[in-house]
Amino acid sequence: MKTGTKIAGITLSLMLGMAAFAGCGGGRGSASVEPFVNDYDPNREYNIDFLGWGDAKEQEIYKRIINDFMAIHPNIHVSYDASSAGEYLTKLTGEIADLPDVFYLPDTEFLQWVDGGHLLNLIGENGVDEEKLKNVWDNAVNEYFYNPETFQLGRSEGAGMFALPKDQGPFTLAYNIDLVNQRIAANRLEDDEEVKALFSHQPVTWTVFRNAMKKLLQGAPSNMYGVPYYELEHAVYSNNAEFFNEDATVSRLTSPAMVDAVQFIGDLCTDGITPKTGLAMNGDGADNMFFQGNALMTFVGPWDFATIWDLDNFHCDLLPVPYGPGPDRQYNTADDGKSTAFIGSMGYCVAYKTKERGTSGASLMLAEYLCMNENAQRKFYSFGQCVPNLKDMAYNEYVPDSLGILADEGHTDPAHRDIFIEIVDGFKDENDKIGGKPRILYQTYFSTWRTNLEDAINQSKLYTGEQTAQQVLAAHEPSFQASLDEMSGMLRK
Amino acid sequence: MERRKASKLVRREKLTALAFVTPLIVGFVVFTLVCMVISFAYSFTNYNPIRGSMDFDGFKRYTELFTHPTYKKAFLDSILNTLFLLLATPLCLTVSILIAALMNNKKFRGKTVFRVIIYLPAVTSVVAVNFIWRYMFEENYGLINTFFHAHIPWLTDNTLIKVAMIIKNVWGGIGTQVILFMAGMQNISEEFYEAAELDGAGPVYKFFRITLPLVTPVLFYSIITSLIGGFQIFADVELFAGGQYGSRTIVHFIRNYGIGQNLYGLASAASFLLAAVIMIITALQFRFNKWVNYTD
Repeated sequence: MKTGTKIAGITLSLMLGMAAFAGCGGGRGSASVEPFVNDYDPNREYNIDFLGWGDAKEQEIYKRIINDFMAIHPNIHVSYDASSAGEYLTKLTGEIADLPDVFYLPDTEFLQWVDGGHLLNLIGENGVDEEKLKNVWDNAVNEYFYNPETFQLGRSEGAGMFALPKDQGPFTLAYNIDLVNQRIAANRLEDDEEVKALFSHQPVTWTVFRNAMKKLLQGAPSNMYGVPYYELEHAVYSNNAEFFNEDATVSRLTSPAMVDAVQFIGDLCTDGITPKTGLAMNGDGADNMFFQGNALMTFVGPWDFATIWDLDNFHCDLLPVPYGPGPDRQYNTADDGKSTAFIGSMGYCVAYKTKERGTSGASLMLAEYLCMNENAQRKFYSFGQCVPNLKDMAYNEYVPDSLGILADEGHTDPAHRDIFIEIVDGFKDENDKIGGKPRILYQTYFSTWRTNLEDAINQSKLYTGEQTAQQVLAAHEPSFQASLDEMSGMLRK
Repeated sequence: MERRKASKLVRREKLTALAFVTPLIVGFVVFTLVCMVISFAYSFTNYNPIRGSMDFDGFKRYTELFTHPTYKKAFLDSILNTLFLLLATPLCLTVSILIAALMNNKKFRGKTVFRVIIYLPAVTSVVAVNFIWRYMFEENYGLINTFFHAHIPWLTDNTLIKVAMIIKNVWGGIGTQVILFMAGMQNISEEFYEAAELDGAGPVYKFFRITLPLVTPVLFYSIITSLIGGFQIFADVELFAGGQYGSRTIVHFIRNYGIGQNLYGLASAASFLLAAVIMIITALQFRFNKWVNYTD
């Protein structure tokens, strides 16, 4: 037999074998909203696995909190394992056939995992303590509801609750107080109305934001910027714009509000307020620029303050993000945008398999303890890891630092912690000017559409002013819609 | 009787040899061959471990790489980026041969010290190297721009990021290559040079007519291994370039679009195309290797 024929034969055999293999293993699990059945027996010993992520410091605090939990429940032995954030999902996916009893899940992965049927519904007669849950941020709790019949995320008739919120990560602007004061003094802006408005800790319009930034940056070194980059979601959300319709099936890329949001980011680049890298500069690059005093402000979450406290080389406070004029493109009308930050979130999930293992009750107890126990929450916020999940603790203890926990540690920044809380608490009424929404990837199956959109913007000539946002988004829209179609097809298949 | 004794000895030697290679063979079969076969099988499916889907889709994943609106551009650009970055291979080999020839010269002093210095990049942590080079190329406060009083966007421009990666990879690859070439050059008999000198040959003539032809086996090995490595660049994209668009290679595509999105079928198809390309290029190199001088 000739070599070519042999290779073809082997290939064909493999393909046929695969076809048979695929036929046997095809099909997928689906989310079940069967009520939670508590199998906990106080007279039984339990060994449960808990998988999380974090650096050494975070792991240490988790170990302490888990020890506290085991001291209260001596019959539950928790085995805690953690990896780095970057490797976590690969590790978790690798364990898909035998998932840990309790594990973290970022909100951006929630839809795929819940739709795959791996998560246990925590609502039931003896399920999660719904009374206690009322003291947890509504938005955080609602985020982990899902209805597998309608594919709808969030609380709805027939939906199950598939995770308890680990924490809420309001992501807003922080400014270097020392650097800003230097720029104000250098440009004699003490009485400038726009600059005063920007640092009033109240939301300002995009116009005021741009003007104030331009004034502050006058005469600044060429490597100093206002912000290292501007978050796409913050611009979109704060202009009443949408990436797509409610069920993520139809693109809204070329709607006026969306176009204006992207144009705002382009304008910040052409004004020199952000570097020409635009959206491409984020993560470590942006943090370093801010920490080294080369940017007046940047986007931060509560977890960033652990680093800022460690650096201890400048004072820092929070600002709400500026807002746009909305779809009608005019300020002071009913559809004006509102200062809206994204809120990153993660859930404590209980694996569906705990039902078979008989560990679902003990697993839920651990998840509830981590999510809602007062002592645990206090330790988390004092560590600079998050804002408390508990509303009363956040308002009465964290914001005023009534127990002096933060002051004792010398962690007085940010003074306006209330901005974090306002974002997490969402828009309570029409007059509420500051709020937050989940990251946009929470609503979709994959993140490729988002990567491709940012790539399309970054690869265009928007940042040099040679192309408009309208042109860039219109050119990208067919590919964007194809991604939405693909994701929609997967969810509804 | 003697023959039987000899064959027993041979058999025992064969068994000993087998005992030595068995761990390697088992390792290769379990961790490479089986994984390759499974991955090849995945490439004909829509395998997604989270959805639990594994439907046979024929060559759909392969065609999607070139036609699907979501992946096509990213995949094709990753191919172009990878090919561009392969320029590091000829540059690195050329510089390495020249340095090796220089250091092989009897008159060259401090050979040991230079050898250590040149080999240092090869034994330095990849992570540390990438971060230091990233700092050097940084636009606003990097050493290179500061030194030249320039604002060159090395890390953000789609072409310049590749140039920066090539510079870094040439630097990083020289150590190993120089050691290999020096070893090859030290095996060249002095008689060739002495004869050439008697005929009045200069250093350039000796290099092109004696040294270079006689190190072609080393060069051939280096080209093959460097190209295979070059096609598989990944760490640089993440650590040095921070995933910048112009730096994204095929392996980065496989990691991000395939494994990162749980599209294992797509990732496997891209992996097999890459493996096929590497195999074809390697086979062609072996087919057209008449320029390699295997004579002593």
